[in-house]
Amino acid sequence: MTRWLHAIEPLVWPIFGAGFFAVAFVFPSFAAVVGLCDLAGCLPADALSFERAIGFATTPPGRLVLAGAIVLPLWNGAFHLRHTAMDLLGTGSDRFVGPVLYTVAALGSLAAAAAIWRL
Amino acid sequence: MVRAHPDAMRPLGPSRTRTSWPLRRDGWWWGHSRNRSYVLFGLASVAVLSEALVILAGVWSLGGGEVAWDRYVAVLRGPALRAFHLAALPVFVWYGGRFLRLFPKTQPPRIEIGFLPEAWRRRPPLALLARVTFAAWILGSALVLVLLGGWLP
Repeated sequence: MTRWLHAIEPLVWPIFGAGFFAVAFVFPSFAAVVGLCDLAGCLPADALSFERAIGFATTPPGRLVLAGAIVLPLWNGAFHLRHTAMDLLGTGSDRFVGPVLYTVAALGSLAAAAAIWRL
Repeated sequence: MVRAHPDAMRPLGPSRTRTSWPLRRDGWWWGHSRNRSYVLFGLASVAVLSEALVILAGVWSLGGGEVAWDRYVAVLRGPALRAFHLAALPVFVWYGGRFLRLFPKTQPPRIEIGFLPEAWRRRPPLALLARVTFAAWILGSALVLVLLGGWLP
Protein backbone atom coordinates (compact mmCIF):
# COMPACT_ATOMS: atom_id res chain seq x y z
CA MET A 1 0.00 0.00 0.00
CA THR A 2 2.85 2.40 0.87
CA ARG A 3 4.35 1.71 -2.55
CA TRP A 4 1.05 2.63 -4.16
CA LEU A 5 0.91 5.87 -2.15
CA HIS A 6 4.39 6.77 -3.38
CA ALA A 7 3.43 5.92 -6.96
CA ILE A 8 0.55 8.42 -7.08
CA GLU A 9 2.53 11.15 -5.30
CA PRO A 10 3.42 13.03 -8.56
CA LEU A 11 -0.30 13.15 -9.39
CA VAL A 12 -1.40 14.29 -5.94
CA TRP A 13 1.29 16.95 -5.54
CA PRO A 14 -0.05 19.43 -8.17
CA ILE A 15 -3.61 18.87 -6.93
CA PHE A 16 -2.33 19.63 -3.43
CA GLY A 17 -0.86 22.92 -4.68
CA ALA A 18 -3.97 23.87 -6.62
CA GLY A 19 -6.04 23.00 -3.55
CA PHE A 20 -4.35 25.78 -1.59
CA PHE A 21 -5.61 28.30 -4.15
CA ALA A 22 -9.13 26.89 -4.01
CA VAL A 23 -9.10 27.07 -0.21
CA ALA A 24 -7.60 30.57 -0.13
CA PHE A 25 -10.03 32.06 -2.63
CA VAL A 26 -13.29 30.25 -1.84
CA PHE A 27 -13.38 28.95 1.74
CA PRO A 28 -12.98 32.22 3.70
CA SER A 29 -15.77 33.81 1.67
CA PHE A 30 -18.02 30.75 2.00
CA ALA A 31 -17.46 30.60 5.77
CA ALA A 32 -18.04 34.35 6.04
CA VAL A 33 -21.33 34.17 4.12
CA VAL A 34 -22.89 31.12 5.81
CA GLY A 35 -21.29 31.68 9.21
CA LEU A 36 -21.03 35.39 9.80
CA CYS A 37 -23.15 37.35 7.32
CA ASP A 38 -26.17 35.04 7.56
CA LEU A 39 -25.99 35.20 11.35
CA ALA A 40 -25.70 38.99 11.28
CA GLY A 41 -28.68 39.18 8.95
CA CYS A 42 -26.87 41.20 6.33
CA LEU A 43 -27.55 38.81 3.40
CA PRO A 44 -30.23 39.63 0.83
CA ALA A 45 -33.39 37.58 1.35
CA ASP A 46 -32.78 35.25 -1.59
CA ALA A 47 -29.02 34.82 -1.06
CA LEU A 48 -29.34 31.16 -0.01
CA SER A 49 -32.48 30.40 -2.02
CA PHE A 50 -32.83 27.24 -4.09
CA GLU A 51 -33.50 29.16 -7.31
CA ARG A 52 -30.34 31.19 -6.98
CA ALA A 53 -28.18 28.21 -6.02
CA ILE A 54 -29.47 25.95 -8.80
CA GLY A 55 -29.23 28.81 -11.29
CA PHE A 56 -25.51 29.11 -10.58
CA ALA A 57 -24.73 25.42 -10.15
CA THR A 58 -26.22 24.27 -13.44
CA THR A 59 -24.13 26.59 -15.62
CA PRO A 60 -20.86 25.16 -17.02
CA PRO A 61 -18.71 27.66 -15.06
CA GLY A 62 -20.76 26.92 -11.95
CA ARG A 63 -20.17 23.18 -12.27
CA LEU A 64 -16.47 23.80 -12.77
CA VAL A 65 -16.23 26.07 -9.72
CA LEU A 66 -18.13 23.60 -7.55
CA ALA A 67 -15.94 20.71 -8.70
CA GLY A 68 -12.82 22.75 -7.94
CA ALA A 69 -14.17 23.89 -4.57
CA ILE A 70 -14.75 20.29 -3.47
CA VAL A 71 -12.19 18.05 -5.16
CA LEU A 72 -9.07 20.24 -4.85
CA PRO A 73 -9.49 20.98 -1.11
CA LEU A 74 -10.30 17.31 -0.43
CA TRP A 75 -6.96 16.20 -1.87
CA ASN A 76 -5.18 19.19 -0.39
CA GLY A 77 -6.47 18.33 3.08
CA ALA A 78 -5.78 14.62 2.69
CA PHE A 79 -2.22 15.13 1.50
CA HIS A 80 -1.44 17.79 4.08
CA LEU A 81 -2.92 15.86 6.99
CA ARG A 82 -1.14 12.69 5.89
CA HIS A 83 2.23 14.42 6.03
CA THR A 84 1.39 16.10 9.34
CA ALA A 85 0.54 12.68 10.76
CA MET A 86 3.92 11.43 9.58
CA ASP A 87 5.60 14.40 11.29
CA LEU A 88 3.80 13.89 14.58
CA LEU A 89 3.38 10.13 14.70
CA GLY A 90 6.29 8.93 12.60
CA THR A 91 6.39 7.45 9.12
CA GLY A 92 4.98 4.16 10.41
CA SER A 93 1.59 5.84 10.77
CA ASP A 94 1.43 6.22 6.99
CA ARG A 95 0.50 2.55 6.59
CA PHE A 96 -2.89 3.37 8.11
CA VAL A 97 -3.37 7.16 7.86
CA GLY A 98 -2.40 7.56 4.19
CA PRO A 99 -4.81 4.96 2.76
CA VAL A 100 -7.67 6.21 4.97
CA LEU A 101 -7.22 9.87 3.96
CA TYR A 102 -6.72 9.13 0.27
CA THR A 103 -9.78 6.87 0.31
CA VAL A 104 -11.82 9.72 1.82
CA ALA A 105 -10.50 12.10 -0.86
CA ALA A 106 -11.13 9.61 -3.69
CA LEU A 107 -14.65 8.72 -2.53
CA GLY A 108 -15.41 12.40 -1.95
CA SER A 109 -14.22 13.22 -5.46
CA LEU A 110 -16.42 10.50 -6.95
CA ALA A 111 -19.37 11.72 -4.89
CA ALA A 112 -18.70 15.29 -6.07
CA ALA A 113 -18.68 14.14 -9.69
CA ALA A 114 -21.96 12.28 -9.15
CA ALA A 115 -23.53 15.24 -7.30
CA ILE A 116 -22.60 17.67 -10.06
CA TRP A 117 -23.74 15.21 -12.74
CA ARG A 118 -27.23 14.89 -11.20
CA LEU A 119 -27.82 18.66 -11.04
CA MET B 1 43.48 2.66 -2.98
CA VAL B 2 43.25 6.33 -2.05
CA ARG B 3 41.07 7.05 0.97
CA ALA B 4 39.67 10.50 1.60
CA HIS B 5 40.30 12.05 4.95
CA PRO B 6 37.14 11.79 7.11
CA ASP B 7 37.15 15.57 7.58
CA ALA B 8 37.83 16.36 3.92
CA MET B 9 34.39 17.92 3.44
CA ARG B 10 34.27 19.70 6.78
CA PRO B 11 33.69 23.47 6.32
CA LEU B 12 36.68 25.64 7.12
CA GLY B 13 34.65 27.83 9.42
CA PRO B 14 31.11 28.41 10.63
CA SER B 15 28.66 28.84 7.74
CA ARG B 16 27.10 32.24 7.03
CA THR B 17 23.58 30.88 7.20
CA ARG B 18 22.15 28.57 9.81
CA THR B 19 21.65 25.05 8.50
CA SER B 20 18.33 23.30 8.92
CA TRP B 21 17.65 21.32 12.04
CA PRO B 22 19.04 17.84 11.41
CA LEU B 23 16.96 15.89 13.92
CA ARG B 24 13.50 16.04 15.38
CA ARG B 25 13.58 18.68 18.10
CA ASP B 26 13.37 17.63 21.72
CA GLY B 27 10.10 18.09 23.48
CA TRP B 28 6.60 18.49 22.17
CA TRP B 29 6.06 20.44 18.96
CA TRP B 30 4.10 23.11 20.78
CA GLY B 31 7.24 24.29 22.55
CA HIS B 32 8.90 25.65 19.42
CA SER B 33 7.20 28.56 17.66
CA ARG B 34 8.22 27.55 14.11
CA ASN B 35 7.32 23.92 14.68
CA ARG B 36 4.06 25.07 16.21
CA SER B 37 2.93 27.16 13.24
CA TYR B 38 4.12 24.43 10.83
CA VAL B 39 2.15 21.70 12.60
CA LEU B 40 -0.91 23.93 13.10
CA PHE B 41 -0.80 24.64 9.36
CA GLY B 42 -0.99 20.89 8.77
CA LEU B 43 -3.69 20.33 11.38
CA ALA B 44 -5.80 23.13 9.84
CA SER B 45 -6.34 20.76 6.93
CA VAL B 46 -8.87 18.96 9.15
CA ALA B 47 -11.05 22.08 8.80
CA VAL B 48 -10.31 22.13 5.05
CA LEU B 49 -11.42 18.52 4.63
CA SER B 50 -14.53 19.15 6.72
CA GLU B 51 -15.52 22.24 4.73
CA ALA B 52 -15.07 20.38 1.45
CA LEU B 53 -17.47 17.72 2.74
CA VAL B 54 -19.96 20.42 3.84
CA ILE B 55 -19.93 21.90 0.32
CA LEU B 56 -20.24 18.40 -1.16
CA ALA B 57 -23.32 17.82 0.99
CA GLY B 58 -24.72 21.11 -0.30
CA VAL B 59 -24.27 20.17 -3.95
CA TRP B 60 -25.78 16.76 -3.28
CA SER B 61 -28.79 18.40 -1.60
CA LEU B 62 -29.15 20.81 -4.48
CA GLY B 63 -29.57 17.88 -6.84
CA GLY B 64 -32.26 16.48 -4.55
CA GLY B 65 -34.62 19.40 -5.16
CA GLU B 66 -35.88 22.37 -3.20
CA VAL B 67 -36.94 20.47 -0.09
CA ALA B 68 -33.52 18.82 0.27
CA TRP B 69 -31.80 22.16 -0.28
CA ASP B 70 -33.93 23.91 2.35
CA ARG B 71 -33.10 21.11 4.79
CA TYR B 72 -29.40 21.64 4.04
CA VAL B 73 -29.65 25.40 4.62
CA ALA B 74 -31.43 24.69 7.93
CA VAL B 75 -28.52 22.44 8.97
CA LEU B 76 -26.07 25.18 7.90
CA ARG B 77 -27.95 27.56 10.21
CA GLY B 78 -27.90 25.04 13.07
CA PRO B 79 -25.60 25.62 16.05
CA ALA B 80 -23.02 22.98 15.09
CA LEU B 81 -22.25 24.22 11.59
CA ARG B 82 -22.69 27.85 12.62
CA ALA B 83 -20.02 27.40 15.31
CA PHE B 84 -17.83 25.47 12.89
CA HIS B 85 -17.96 28.24 10.28
CA LEU B 86 -17.32 31.00 12.81
CA ALA B 87 -14.29 29.10 14.10
CA ALA B 88 -13.12 28.04 10.65
CA LEU B 89 -13.23 31.54 9.13
CA PRO B 90 -9.99 32.81 10.75
CA VAL B 91 -8.43 29.38 10.18
CA PHE B 92 -9.12 29.56 6.43
CA VAL B 93 -7.83 33.13 6.23
CA TRP B 94 -4.64 32.12 8.03
CA TYR B 95 -4.29 28.89 6.01
CA GLY B 96 -4.67 30.67 2.67
CA GLY B 97 -2.54 33.63 3.76
CA ARG B 98 0.28 31.40 4.94
CA PHE B 99 0.29 29.51 1.66
CA LEU B 100 0.21 32.67 -0.44
CA ARG B 101 3.04 34.15 1.65
CA LEU B 102 5.13 31.07 0.84
CA PHE B 103 4.01 30.84 -2.78
CA PRO B 104 6.33 33.48 -4.37
CA LYS B 105 9.37 31.89 -2.72
CA THR B 106 8.52 28.51 -4.23
CA GLN B 107 8.56 29.81 -7.80
CA PRO B 108 11.65 29.05 -9.88
CA PRO B 109 13.87 32.08 -10.56
CA ARG B 110 13.87 31.28 -14.27
CA ILE B 111 11.80 29.11 -16.57
CA GLU B 112 13.19 27.69 -19.79
CA ILE B 113 10.40 28.01 -22.35
CA GLY B 114 11.89 28.61 -25.76
CA PHE B 115 9.28 30.86 -27.34
CA LEU B 116 9.08 33.27 -24.39
CA PRO B 117 11.05 36.51 -24.63
CA GLU B 118 14.03 36.63 -22.30
CA ALA B 119 12.45 39.14 -19.92
CA TRP B 120 9.44 36.87 -19.38
CA ARG B 121 11.56 33.88 -18.45
CA ARG B 122 12.78 35.52 -15.27
CA ARG B 123 10.72 35.51 -12.10
CA PRO B 124 9.59 39.01 -11.09
CA PRO B 125 11.22 40.38 -7.93
CA LEU B 126 9.92 38.52 -4.88
CA ALA B 127 8.55 41.67 -3.23
CA LEU B 128 6.56 42.53 -6.36
CA LEU B 129 5.31 38.95 -6.77
CA ALA B 130 4.21 38.89 -3.13
CA ARG B 131 2.31 42.17 -3.50
CA VAL B 132 0.57 41.02 -6.68
CA THR B 133 -0.31 37.66 -5.08
CA PHE B 134 -1.87 39.31 -2.02
CA ALA B 135 -3.68 41.92 -4.12
CA ALA B 136 -5.13 39.13 -6.29
CA TRP B 137 -6.17 37.24 -3.15
CA ILE B 138 -7.95 40.22 -1.61
CA LEU B 139 -9.71 41.21 -4.84
CA GLY B 140 -10.58 37.61 -5.73
CA SER B 141 -11.92 36.88 -2.26
CA ALA B 142 -13.97 40.08 -2.28
CA LEU B 143 -15.44 39.08 -5.64
CA VAL B 144 -16.29 35.56 -4.40
CA LEU B 145 -17.81 37.06 -1.23
CA VAL B 146 -20.00 39.46 -3.19
CA LEU B 147 -21.12 36.73 -5.60
CA LEU B 148 -21.82 34.15 -2.89
CA GLY B 149 -23.58 36.67 -0.68
CA GLY B 150 -25.93 37.68 -3.45
CA TRP B 151 -24.96 41.34 -3.40
CA LEU B 152 -24.49 41.21 -7.15
CA PRO B 153 -27.44 40.25 -9.34
